[in-house]
This record gives sequence, C-alpha cells and structure tokens, in this order.
Amino acid sequence: MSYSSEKLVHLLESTLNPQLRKQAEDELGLIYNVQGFSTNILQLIMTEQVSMPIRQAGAIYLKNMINQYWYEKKPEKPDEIVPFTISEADKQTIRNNLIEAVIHSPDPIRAQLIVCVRTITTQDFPEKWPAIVDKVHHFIQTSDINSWNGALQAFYQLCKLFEYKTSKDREPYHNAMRVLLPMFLERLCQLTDDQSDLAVLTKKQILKIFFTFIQFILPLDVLDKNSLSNWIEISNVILVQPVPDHVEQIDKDERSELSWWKIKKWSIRILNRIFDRYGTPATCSKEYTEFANFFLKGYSRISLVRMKYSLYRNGVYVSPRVLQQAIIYLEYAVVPAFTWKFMKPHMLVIIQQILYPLMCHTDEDQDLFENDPVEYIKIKYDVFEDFVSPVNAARQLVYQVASKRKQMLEQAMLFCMSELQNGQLAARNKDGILHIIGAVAPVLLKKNVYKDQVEMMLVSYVFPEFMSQHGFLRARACWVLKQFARVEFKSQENLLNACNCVKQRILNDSCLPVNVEACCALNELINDEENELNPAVKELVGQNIQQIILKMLNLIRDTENDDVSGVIQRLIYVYEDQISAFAVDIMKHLAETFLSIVKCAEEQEDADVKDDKTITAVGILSTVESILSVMEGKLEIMHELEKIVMPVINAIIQNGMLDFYEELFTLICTLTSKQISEPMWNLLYVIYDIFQNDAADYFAELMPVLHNYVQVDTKSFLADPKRLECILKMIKQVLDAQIDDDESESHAAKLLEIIVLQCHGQIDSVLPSIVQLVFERLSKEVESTELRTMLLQVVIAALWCNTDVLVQTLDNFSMSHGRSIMLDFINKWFGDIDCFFGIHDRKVCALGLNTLLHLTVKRRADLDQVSGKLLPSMCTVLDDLSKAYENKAREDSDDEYEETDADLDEVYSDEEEENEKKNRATQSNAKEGEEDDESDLDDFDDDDEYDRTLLENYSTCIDNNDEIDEFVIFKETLQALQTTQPQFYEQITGSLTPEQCKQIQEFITTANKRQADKESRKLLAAGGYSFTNIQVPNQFNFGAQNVFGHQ
Amino acid sequence: MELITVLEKTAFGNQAELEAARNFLEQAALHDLPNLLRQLSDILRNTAHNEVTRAQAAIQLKNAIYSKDESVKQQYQDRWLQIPEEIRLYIKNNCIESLGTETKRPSQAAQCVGYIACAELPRELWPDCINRLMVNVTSQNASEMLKESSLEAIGYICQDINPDILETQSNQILTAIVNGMRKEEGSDHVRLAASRALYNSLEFTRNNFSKDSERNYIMQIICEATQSDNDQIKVSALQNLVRIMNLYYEYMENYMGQALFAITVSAMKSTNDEVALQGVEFWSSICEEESELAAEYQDAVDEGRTPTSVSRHYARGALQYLVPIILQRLCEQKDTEDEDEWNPCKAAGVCLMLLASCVEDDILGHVMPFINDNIKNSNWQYREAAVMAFGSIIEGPSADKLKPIVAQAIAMFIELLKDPSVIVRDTAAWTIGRICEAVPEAIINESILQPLLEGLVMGLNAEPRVATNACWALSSIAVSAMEMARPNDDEDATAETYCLSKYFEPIVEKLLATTERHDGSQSNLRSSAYEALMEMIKNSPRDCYTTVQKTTIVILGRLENVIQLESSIQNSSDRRQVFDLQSLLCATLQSVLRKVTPEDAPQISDHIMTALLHMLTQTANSKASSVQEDAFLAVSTLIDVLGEKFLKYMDSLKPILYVGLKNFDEYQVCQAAVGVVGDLGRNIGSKILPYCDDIMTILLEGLISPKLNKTVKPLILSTFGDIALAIGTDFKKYAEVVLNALHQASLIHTDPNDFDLIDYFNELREGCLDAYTGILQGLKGNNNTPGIVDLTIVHPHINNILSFLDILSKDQNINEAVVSAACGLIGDLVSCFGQQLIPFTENMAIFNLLERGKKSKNSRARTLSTWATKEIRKLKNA
Repeated sequence: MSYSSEKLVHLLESTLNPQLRKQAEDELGLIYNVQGFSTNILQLIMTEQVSMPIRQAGAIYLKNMINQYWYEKKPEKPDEIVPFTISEADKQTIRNNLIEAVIHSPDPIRAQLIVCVRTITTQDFPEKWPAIVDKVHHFIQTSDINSWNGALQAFYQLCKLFEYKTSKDREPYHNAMRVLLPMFLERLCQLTDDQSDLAVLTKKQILKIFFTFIQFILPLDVLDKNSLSNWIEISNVILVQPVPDHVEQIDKDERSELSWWKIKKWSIRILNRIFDRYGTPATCSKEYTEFANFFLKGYSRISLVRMKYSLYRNGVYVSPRVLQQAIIYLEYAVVPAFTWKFMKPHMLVIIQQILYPLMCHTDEDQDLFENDPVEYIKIKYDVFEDFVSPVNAARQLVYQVASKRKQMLEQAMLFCMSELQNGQLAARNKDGILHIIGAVAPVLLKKNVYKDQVEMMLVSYVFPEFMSQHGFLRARACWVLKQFARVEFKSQENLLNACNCVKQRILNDSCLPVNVEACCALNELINDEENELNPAVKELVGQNIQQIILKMLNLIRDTENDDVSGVIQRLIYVYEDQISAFAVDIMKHLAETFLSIVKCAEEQEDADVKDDKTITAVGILSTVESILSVMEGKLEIMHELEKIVMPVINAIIQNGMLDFYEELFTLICTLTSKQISEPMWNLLYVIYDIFQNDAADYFAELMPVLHNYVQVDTKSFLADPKRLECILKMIKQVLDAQIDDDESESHAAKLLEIIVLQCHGQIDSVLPSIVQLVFERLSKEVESTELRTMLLQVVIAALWCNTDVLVQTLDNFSMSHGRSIMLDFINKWFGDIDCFFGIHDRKVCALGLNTLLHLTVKRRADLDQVSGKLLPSMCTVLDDLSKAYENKAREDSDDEYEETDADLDEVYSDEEEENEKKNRATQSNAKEGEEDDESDLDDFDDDDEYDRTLLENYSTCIDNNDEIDEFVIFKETLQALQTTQPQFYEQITGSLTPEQCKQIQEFITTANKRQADKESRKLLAAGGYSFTNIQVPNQFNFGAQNVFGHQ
Repeated sequence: MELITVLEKTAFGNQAELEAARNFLEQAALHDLPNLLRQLSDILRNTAHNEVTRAQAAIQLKNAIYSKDESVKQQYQDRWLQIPEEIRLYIKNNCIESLGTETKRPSQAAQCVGYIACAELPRELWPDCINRLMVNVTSQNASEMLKESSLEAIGYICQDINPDILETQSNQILTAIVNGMRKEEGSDHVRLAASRALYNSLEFTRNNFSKDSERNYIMQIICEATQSDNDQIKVSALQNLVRIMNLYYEYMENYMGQALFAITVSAMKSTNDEVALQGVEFWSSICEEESELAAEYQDAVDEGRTPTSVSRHYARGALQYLVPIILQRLCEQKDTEDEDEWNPCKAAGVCLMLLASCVEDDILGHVMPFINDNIKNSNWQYREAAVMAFGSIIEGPSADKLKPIVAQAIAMFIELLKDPSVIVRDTAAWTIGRICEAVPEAIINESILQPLLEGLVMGLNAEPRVATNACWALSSIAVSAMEMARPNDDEDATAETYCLSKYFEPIVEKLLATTERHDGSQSNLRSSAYEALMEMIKNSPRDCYTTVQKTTIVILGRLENVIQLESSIQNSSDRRQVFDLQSLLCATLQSVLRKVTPEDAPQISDHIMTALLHMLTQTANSKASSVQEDAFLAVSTLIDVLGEKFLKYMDSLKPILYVGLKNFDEYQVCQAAVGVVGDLGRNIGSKILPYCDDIMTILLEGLISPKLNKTVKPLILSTFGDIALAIGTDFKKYAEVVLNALHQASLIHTDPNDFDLIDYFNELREGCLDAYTGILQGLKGNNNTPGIVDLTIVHPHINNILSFLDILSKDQNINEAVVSAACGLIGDLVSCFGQQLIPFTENMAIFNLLERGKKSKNSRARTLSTWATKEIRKLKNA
C-alpha cells in the first residue's frame, strides 16, 4: 500500500486546519511506518508546486520523524516487538537527497531540514554517511553561490557535532576539513569585496565554520602555517572593510544584528581565539609554542593595527560586540613584551579616548536607570554581560594594563586625578573617571605609594558624591567604596563616615540601583575575615541592623538580585546575637518572597527569565539556611522558624522542583541537626516518596539528612519502626540498583553502619536482614575499595554491637551454604585489613577484632583457623590508628598558617623585558623536565592522605567517645585472656614477632595513658580534684609496713 | 711547734698567733700533706683532746679536701686521691670512728666523712662507707650523737654527689634515713638530721618511690614528721613534701586526699612563718607542676598523642580552701618591711599568681569579691592586699574575661596612686604596670587612657619605688600602643600616628626629668626611667619625630656633661655612678639614633662620635667594661644610620676598635667590637679594605684563643661573611685560612642530650653558614667573569661544605635560622658552581634540608628553600 502525493498533501493540509487536525494526525499515525513514507514527504517538501504552508508542515513532520525514528532501538524486554525505526532503504534515500534539499529549499524549510542534518550526522557520520563530505565538496566547487550557502549551512551542523570533542575523536572531521577548508578559504577570498546579502551570509557561515573548527583545538596537521596565515589575513581584511552605506542608515539596535557586522564579529573572534589560545608563547600549551612565536612575530601586530582601527573610528559606529572583542584583543596584547612595545605609546590615548568614554554613564543607561531600574540592576549584575559588554571589557583592560605595566598605572592615575580636579567636570565624566579608579583598585591597594593616598582620594572625591543629585553618581560612589573597602583607614572618623554614607544610601535613597550598590559596598566594609571587625563599624551598622535587613529583604523581593542575598547572609553571621530578636520576621519575609518568585517562575515561558528567577530563589534559600544555621542552638526560635520554613519545603516538594533539591536537603539537615520535631519526622516519609519518584540519584546529597534522623535522636528514631524501615528501604534500593554508582553505594553502606552502631543492641530483629543485604551486595562485583571495606565494616560493627545475633545469623547462612560464612567474612576482612583508613574505620576494626578475640576463646572450629592472625591484625590496625590520630592533629594545626606570598603577577619592567625574551627560550625548553621534577618532589609529601576519609564526617556514638576506647578495651581483653585462658593466651602470643610484642606493650602503655588522661579530663570538668578530708588525721597509715627493716 | 698547739692557736690565739698558725699549716701542707692530714685525723679521733681543738683539726682536714669553688674542689679531690691508699684508709677510719664522739653540733667529723666520701665514691673507692653509716644509725645501741652525725654525713654525701652514683645504694641510704626519721625515734636531733638527709636523697630514690610499699612507708614517716612539735623538724618535713611533689607528682594521689592537703593547708595558717612559708610553697609548686602538665596536655593534643603524665587538678580542686588563706596572708604586710625579706605575705602573693595562671578563669570568682570588698577598706593593709590580689591574677584568665573587669576597676587603681600609704601607691603602680603589659587592649581607649596617663605621670613624682613602677607601666603602654597602630601587623613598619601622640612630648619630658631625680639611685628608678624613655622613643610614630629630635639633643648634652664630670670623680662610688650613667646614656642614644632620619644624622654625628671616642678611650684600661660595651653598641648604631658617611671617623676609631677586639678577658666588650666590624662591613662596603689585614688577624686570633668566651665565636664567623661580602674578590687572600677555620668549626659535634649547648651550636652553625655564604657571594664578584677565577679557591672545600650540610641534615636540633641559612647556602653553591655541582644535588642531605625549609613556619626559610630548589632545577634543565 502506498500513499499518493496528493493524499499526503491533503493530509498535511488538514493538520493546519484546527477542525481537521485530530483526524489527519490519526491518519498519519497509521501510515508513518510504511516503507517509503519518509522519502515521500521529503519529495513533497521539495515540490515547488505545493503551497508553502503545506511544505512547511511536511518539513516539521519529517524533522519530528527523524528525531524519533532514526535511532535503532532495542526492545525493553526480550519478548516485546522491536520498536519502529525508519527503514535503511528510506534512510539511504534521505541521506542521498538531503543536502540538495537544503540547498534548494527556502529559508523556513531549510531551518527544519538543517535540524534533520544534525540528527542524522550525529547518528551516521562517518560510518553510514561519509558521502556528506563529498556532497559539500561538490557543491562548493560549483559556481552557484546559493549552493555554497546551503551546503555550508548543512556542513556547519557536522562541525557543531565535533566542536567539543577531543582530538582523538575528531579524526574523521579533520579528514573532511583537509579537503574542504582550502575550498572554503578560496570562496571567502573570492567573495571578499562582494557586499550582497547572500555573499555576506556565505562569508559569515564560512567564518563560523572556521571558528568552530579552531575554538578548542588548532590542528596544525590540518592547517599549516601558510594556510593559517591566509585565514588570519582575510579575517583582518574583513574586520576593517567598510560597511555598505545603506547599512549605516539602519537603526543602531538592529544594525549590530546585521550580517555585515556579524562577519566582523566572527573574524575578530577568530583573531582573538588564535592570539589567546595559540599565539601567546608564555601561556599556550607546548604543542603550540612554535606556532605562537610565528604568530606573535608575524601577525599579532598587524591585527593590533586593525583592532585599533576598529576602535578609533572617531564617532563612527562600531557594533558593541566588535568593540568588545577588539578591546579584549588589546588586553591579550598587554602581556607579551613584543606586542606591548608596540601598544605602549598608544595606551594612554586609548584609555583617554576610547575606554574612558565607554566607561561613562550613557543615555541608554540613564533611560533604564530612570524608567526601569530593576532592569538596570539586572544588566549591571548579570554575570553573562561580562562575555559581551564592551564596558566590562574596557574595565578589564584598564585593570590588566595597570596591574601588568607599572608606568601605565601612574599615567592613568595622573590623568584621572587631573580630570577630578577639574571643577567643571560633567557628572557623567566623573562617573567614568571614578569607574576607572575603581577598576584599578586592587592594584592601588597593593602599592604602598598609592595605598596611603587612597583614603584622601575617597574623602575628597568619592564621599561628596554620596550626596550627588545624580542617582548614578551616588551608585558609583558606593561602587568605588566597595572596590576600596579593604584599604586600612587611618582615620576612624573617615571609616565611620564611609559606613554611615553607605548605611544612609541603603536606608534612605529612593533609587533602587543606589540601594543595591550600597548593599554590596556594605558587604565589603563588614567583610573583615582575618582581623576582627572594627567594633565601631560593627556598632554603627548594628544600630539599624533590623531596618537594614528588612530593607534588603524588600530589595530582594523587588529586584530579585542575588548579590543582596549574599550581603544578608554575611550580616546574619556578623550580627548573630541581634538577629535572633527578629529572625522570625526575616524568615517570614523570605518565605513569602520565595513562594511568590517560585509561583511567578512556574508561569514563565521564557527559559532565560525562568533561570534568573531560579538563581534568585536559590539565593533566598541559602539566606534561609544562613538564618537557620545561626539560630541552630536556640531551640525555641528554631521551633518558630521551622513552622515558617515548612511551606517553603512543601512547595518545593509538591512541585517537584529539582533545581532546589540540594538546598532543600541542606535546609532539612539544618532543621534536624539539634532536635527533630514531629513534623520533621513526618517529612522523612515525604523524603522517601520523593526519593522513589525523582531523587534516587540524590542519595549522597540526602545522606546528611538521613544521618541526622538516625543519629540526632536515636530513641525517637527507633520509637516508630516505620522510620527505620523507610530508611532501610532507601538503602536497599541503592544497593540493589546495580547501577555503577560507587558514591551512592558507599554512602548507603555507611548509613547501614551508622544504624548498626547507633542502635546498638536495639535492632536485633532487623539485623539479620541488614547483614543479608550486605552479603548479597558483597557477592556481586565490588570495584571500589571504599565500598568493599564499608560493606565489611557494617558486619564488623554488628559483630561488635550485637555479637550473638550476628554469629547466629552467619551460622544460619553457613547452614544454607554448607561452609562457614563467618570464616569467609573474616578472610575477606583480614585480606583488606590495611585498607581501612581514617580514624573511625580503624576504630571499628579494632573493636571488631576485640570481639573476635573473645569469640575465639570459645574454640569454634572456623575461628581456630584464623586465631594466629588476630593479634598481628590488631597490631596493624592499632599502629595505623596511632599514626592517624597524630596526622589528624598535625593537619588541624597546619591549617593555622598558610602561605601569603600571592602577589600581583606583574610582568617585567621595560629594562627586564629584553632579558626576559632571552630567557623565555630556555625556559620553554625546560618546561617538560620541570613538570617531571615537580612530581618527583611531591611524591615525598602526601602520605597522610589516607588518614582521613570523607565518610567519617558522619559521626556516630563511638566517635570522640572516651568511654569506648579501643586501646583500653584491647588491654582489658588481653589481660582477661591472660588470667582466664592462659593456654590460649600463650598460643596467640607465642607466634608473635619481637616487633609485634613490642607494639603490644606500647598499646598497653597507651591504654594506661589514655585512661589516666580520661580521668584527668573528668577531674578538670568537675572543677578539679575533690578534697574531702580537711582535718589533719591523727595518724597516717597508707597501708604499708616498714619495708626498710630496722635492726 | 706541735700541731696540736697550732690548732689551739687557730681557735684561741691572737692575730699574730693566728697568722703564725696559718703559716705553719700551709708549710706543713706543702711539705707533707698526707702526714699532716693523718695527724689531723689522729687529733680528731682522740677524745682526750679538747673539743674545740678537735673541731679545728676536722675543719683543717675538711678544708684540704673540699672547697666551694668547683674547680678548686676538683683539684683537692685529685690531690686527696694521690695519697697512698693505706694513709687514706687510716684517715678515713679515724674520721668514721670519730662519729658520735663529739658533743658540739654540727658534727665536724660528719663533714670530713661526707667530703671524703664525695671524693672516693665516684671512683668506686670506699665501698663499705654507706653501709657503715647505715649500721651506725640502725644499730640498737647507737648513741644519739652517733646516729645524728652519721645521718649528717649521709646528708653531705647525698647533697654533693651525682645522684646516679648513689642509685645502687639507695636502699641502704633510705634504711638509715627512715630509721632515723621515725616518730619512734626519741631524739629530735636525729629525726631532724634524718629529715635533712632525706631531702638530699630524694632525687636518686625514684626506684623506691615507684614501689608502692616503700613509698607508702616513706610518706607515712614524712607525714608524721610534719606533725612533730619541733618546728625545725616540721619545716624540714614540709620541705621534703614540696620536693617530692615536684619529683613524684604522679604517685601522690593516694596521699593528697588523705593527708597532704590537710597538712599543708594547716601549715599555711601556721603562726610560725617558716612553717607557713613551706605550706604556701607546697601549693606554689603544685601550681607550677600543673601548669606544666596543662602545657604538656595541649602539646599532646596538638600532636595527636596521649600525654605521658597528666594533671590531677589538685590546685583547681583546692582553690576554694586556698584562696581565703592566701588572701588573709596578703593582709599581713608590715609597715616597715625590708624589701628583700621573704615572708608568708610575699609568698602568698606569688602563690596567687601561680594559682591564677594554673586555673585561669576560675580564679576570678574566688578573688574578685575580696577585691571589691576591700579596695576601699579604711585599713591600708586590706586596700593594699586587694590591689595586690588584682595585680597577681592578671596573668591567667582570658583577655575576654579580664577586659570588662579591668575597664571597671582601672579608675579605682588610678585613684589609689594618690593613696596616703606609700605601700598602697607602690602596689597600685605595680598593678597598673601588670595590666598594661597583660591586657593593654583593655586600657588603650580614649576614656581610660587620659586619666591613666595623668595618674602615671603624677606617679613619676612619687617615691622612687612608686615612680619605678610608673615607668614600667609607661613602657608597656608605649609598646602596646605601637603594636596596635602598626599597619597590617607589620613588625617593621612605623605608624603615622598613634593614641599616645598627643601625650608623647609631656611624657618624654617628664621621664627626662625623672632620670635626673636626686633619689634616682633608689629602687632602680634612674635606669627604669631611662628604659621607659627608650621604649617611648623606640615605639614612637612619625608624628612624634620632633620630640625625638629634641630628646636626641638632650641626651647628647648629657653625654657631654657626664664626660666632663669624670675629672671631678672623688671615690669609687662616684665612679660607679658615672659609669652607670654613661652606660644608660649610650643605650638611650642607640634608641634615639635608630629613629633619627638619614638627613638629621650627619648633623649630630660629630658630637656623638667625639663623646663616644672619648668615653671609649677613657675607659679602655679600666674595669668599666659595661661602658665600653654600650659605647661600641652605640657606634654600631651610628654606623647603621650614617652608612658610608661614617668613613671619616674610621681613623680615629681604628686604635680603640682594635683594643676592643683584643679584649678577650671582657668578652662582652669584644663581642660588641666584633659587632662594630660587622656593621662596618655591611655599611661601608669595600672601603673597609685598608683595615682588613689588621682586623682579620685579630679576629682569627680570637677565634682560636681559648681565653675568649665561646659565645663570641659564632659572631666572629658570621663577621667573616660580612667582610667577604664587603670586599668581594679581595677576600681571596684570607679565603684559604678562613675556609680551614670554618671547616674546623663545622666539625664540632653536639651532645644531643645537652640542652644548654643546643642554642650555642645553632648559633655556631648559623655563623659558619653565614660565613660560607658571604665568601661565595663575595668571591663570585659583581660581574660574573673575574669572580669565577677566584671561586676556584673554594673548590677544594666543596666536599667539606657538603659534609657539613650532611651533618646538619641529620641533626634534629637545628633551628629555623640554621635551616634557612643552609637553604641559602645550597642555592649559592648551585649558582656559583653550576654544572660542577650537579652530581651533588641528588644528595639526600640537600634534599632533606630543602624539604625542611619548604615546610618551615619561617617565611625566610620557605623563600630561600624555594629559591634554591629553583636554582637546582634551572641547572638540571640547562
């Protein structure tokens, strides 16, 4: 059965009619899997007689079909039928005709077909569709510019496919490029002077293909120096080519989006990429060193001239992206001495005439500032702006020049100061100057000459602007102060004045952007991590802390600015004591804002806007978390706060907002860290549900919460058996899942161990099933040592906690297996005895070994076989443990000092530059050896890495517990054995090496010392030794006879 | 003349007879010592002789074998051992047989026995000595005198001999002592002698103390002795307890609760001062012990170990009982106290300090109520005790706890500076000084500082003892104020201004006036005032420079005046005063010179140099070594300040400098002169060359001279380095000699167990390393070409240097400075010898030292290690 074209046309037409759509789609659904159907559609699409809407509908249908049915699928279960895929014959037909189709189709259809190319190449290139390369090659060789364009567009899809692949996987792509790139270049050159729409589009496509090709790897075996030179040449030419007059007439906003400007953007991006990644000898990876030198000497300066040309167009329009990229090129050129020498004479002029005007407040800025302040703030704080904004690029260049080239800092500062001293300076220019000064703040703060003058500069030129009539200058004043907040004010008065100004701008300024800038400035002023915060500053801000925080909460609500959330979090930590008075109010505000943002985000269509809202909401959640963790110890307030946070938690869970799960778990963790309320217990079941639904991958993230449930209030945890059951189910699910996820599995095993230790003796009935679960997992393949030892550790913990139940359980297993499972387990354990790391794991091992010592006395046949290994294993574990305690202490104390040699990486001064160049050659030769050398030296360090494990952060009742001291327990066990089982004692100690005997003596000494230490600490805690006998006794009898035998 | 008559004359004769007798004995000793001693022992042994004569014989005998001067004693003991054995046997027998035959106390025979034993026992002679003494004490029918004198002999032996030698005989010794000390012993004399002997034996009886039964018995005996009615026995028994607590803290728990606590607390309350002192002393030593244990605990925690010994927190537990007694004792001060007399009141103050540093915050609750109740008491003794108590507990509690208390109380203490009682004023000034030193942050703020400074400046007018404490308080404030004002906690930075700026000038003026007080020699006031002045100047910010300038002129004027004074010196007391003043002025001059700007320095340097040269010349041949030392130190400072401009004084300085360098007897003078040479090297560079032949000759002479105290030698070594750096390749003519000397010095090994020497060896080694570094850098020259030739001189020594580095790398006792200097030397070796050194860079010693440098907490060591590592890497990759 085959469908005629007409019928197909009819059906597709019907899909466009709302009334007929349903029926038509159903009918299509019956025939789509017929052989030849897809090729028919392709044919139809290409039939010019058919009306455009129908062709378009066909194109979309084809795209969807290819999306869905191109992949070869296997049935989910063996007995099910194989799902439909387009037949190989049809696929072949489509592949044979698709490129022509792209070339000959009008834009709307081409757009759909391009997607098809993408899907198919993903699947079939190079194996099944090597011909695409020949096709493109063929069309690019014709003389028809339209064919070129279509073929290029199609080929670009293949390029995108390989964009991020490693060079190993790019071989077929490179082979294609070897053939095609010379052709592309030829066409590009050929079209250079052709400014027609189609020619420019074609040029743009070629440039994009080239950029994609070299973005991450520059394959020098594909592109030799010669052809690269040509690409660089032509890019330079395109960059400076005049734009046709008609383009210059178009409105500025649209102009930058036109191809005439776009080709310039792509050519400059190519030049930047080459310079940055492959053209700077000092920083590029070593395979490019040769090319880098070639490029630097041969081309960098030519491009530099072109860049400057693009910049210096005295009032003539340059698109923002081209401008931004040109500035970035200059920034790269600051570092190599070769290019800097060339740039240096022009730099001050560039700063004065290009960067400075860019950094001033503009009409567009003012428009937004007044009419849409929220949008203004959004743009100013948008991190993505950094990648496109010429203003940010200008700021970055100013900083780069100032930090790398000393003399420039001086010249730039002289210029700025002379401008500032000009009484007639316009407000917007003042903004620009302050902007420049703020940009170089980090450099000024490092130089003693300037450091001392900063305070005066702030007082004379910045403080007055806090009162400026122009909102943007008030905001700028806050921004500059933020940049310099780290300066040490010599005058307390100035410092307080600064803080007060900022405070006033937060509380009393009517412009939102000023408020936000002031908040960020405040953040820096109270950010004094190393030294204690200046008490007067703390007090000044503290006076209005409640108003300030409420104002900030409103700002977050109104502007959804994430940076302000960060400021609140800091304030919460700094003003911990004062916050508790109104923590509840803050929390209510935050909860409301969060819920409304989330609601708003749900209704949003635009993905970008949605993302923005999500970022803001995450910021709010972390503010919530900050408050909770600060209030953690205050149980009553926590109780109130919990009630307010609950709706937030519920909203996240009910709406399945995966974006917030990490923050959600952190919140729950904080809420359960000291006590667990009834609602929080109930939340455990909800967590179980979401774990079932969509959080199965989150086990590691959930671990802290689950740990709290088990450990914070074990009594309540066990009070309701459903709680344990619920957690065990989750663990079982992870261990049974057979997914290759060691991290989750290790966490699951760790949680089992925690349960066993924490519920010591209270889970006898459940223990066999836990042990069974562990043995089942152990019987399957276990790749990671951590997981293997952790699983063993669950059993070891059980051996120590619930010895009888464990022995019984293992003996039952033995019955069904016909061999001693206990022995199996011990052999596995002893085989891994040196794989237990950290303090906790080794402590559990030591405790388990003690239990084994006791058990062995009962002379079980299976244990007899290993009795000789008990004490040697104990020696290993306890010895490692002693070292681990020492290493931990050393690590703790090592944190106290850190290297403080980090300095600005200033490049060499002019005199040194020449020498530097000479050295560079030797240095780069040396590089290889140097790296080897480095690793040699490092081998000597980190032997203590094994002495802590991440999982041991999940503490249990045996950690830091004096009452369970593995050394003391061992000593007592040994002494008991010596008196009650002298024969057995002889047997196990007789075979020890002298070294081991010595170790055991040391362990006993350690045990005695630890007991004494424990008692001493107890005495200290009790307020010292308790003296009861206050009267001098009448006689002294310490229980001794005269042993000195007097005659 | 008969010996017996001679001896009688030594006891009863007139001046001339006495002289004649002494001559006779000297002659006899020279002529035939063994015979003299034998005769003396015969007289001692013969009870028929007069007791005084016998005692004289014993004294003469003893003086021939014992002296308080350690080296003389050694000589005498050797001489004794030269005497033929049978004569010694004869004498020893006489002596030991004389025990118990005397009636006067203390027994002279016991001394003879004791000191002969001290000479013989270490050489394993006289094996039955201890046993005979023990038998004397334990035998049933021994007389009181026999027991007592035998115990005394044991006491002398235990006191003097290295404890290791007696360890094997500790059982016999203790048997004798314990028997003599029992309460069943009827004679107090015997018990007292036994108790004193016990005191001397405690150090080598660790074995006995580690056995429960023996210890229990000893402790019982001692406790019983503390309850004797005889105060001497009581005191001695308590002294034993104090010492035992120090030595055997870990064994004391059994006795503390049952007995020692009650015994010592009641002793503290005793009306007998000696008894009370021992009671207080007991708790002071517990506090010291427990503070040490707390420190050990902290170290153990930091290193992840379990502490070897632990505190039982007796002091903390006893606090509630001790503090009231101590405070009561503090109120017992007397109006007319001799400052040097040690009494329970003063001991209580010290004990309170120790308690505070031991129990930290806990002390406050026990002491503060007393202070609050008594600070305004109408009885001056209570007021003084309250202030005293506060001053005593200032070190220990955390600054957080103290700050609010100090803020509240300081006004009261300032008020007390005007108290009618001078003792109260004195203690108030002392307490303020303690506060300024311990919690400066509590007082350096606007509201407290001004009244405090006013109070202190006024205190400078008060009695010398009060004024001295005010000086000390001002010094502490100056140091802390500067520390707080320094930008970035940079230790070398000078602040622009600080909180004392506006008071600076009046304080300095007042201090200058105080130094001129007529009663300045009392209570050390003059030097305290000068020291305060120095601290003020040293810790002055930029905006106080004018005052510094003025002070410089004043000091200079005084220096010139005091030189004039020299002519009018009448007697030795005047002379001493003038010398002291000159020293102080030189020291003050150094502190002002360090502050003087390079522009100002040349304007005053002529005057200074004239004065200094004059002083140096005047005192060159006198005993005023401290003036010499201080003057040389001032010259050093001047060189630092003037740099090359100092050159014009070189020819005038030269002769006096050489005299100083050759002053091996007064090593501090020599050391200061060597310091001057180092400063010259660092500051005038190659201009020092004309003087080098002389200087090097003297320095090398000093280096090998046994007469020169060893502490100067490391400095001489590093000064070689300075000179080498200064004169560069011209050093080659000295290189061979110096390199050999360095090799010799670097070979000296330490005994790793002798902690006293560790510091010295670190200095010596740092000196060697500095010298090597200086020589390498010097010979390398400024531009590389000519130097390479000169470096060949060092070539044969590379192996020596490397083996020196090897020694260092294996020594765990080397300090950061040595590590850092060693890393620097490694880097210099590599950069000087390049390829030739490659085979050695694989050396473990070098690797270890660089690793230690890399991990060092000292930033200079880290920097040098990184640099040296880079140099090596550069070499390998070249």
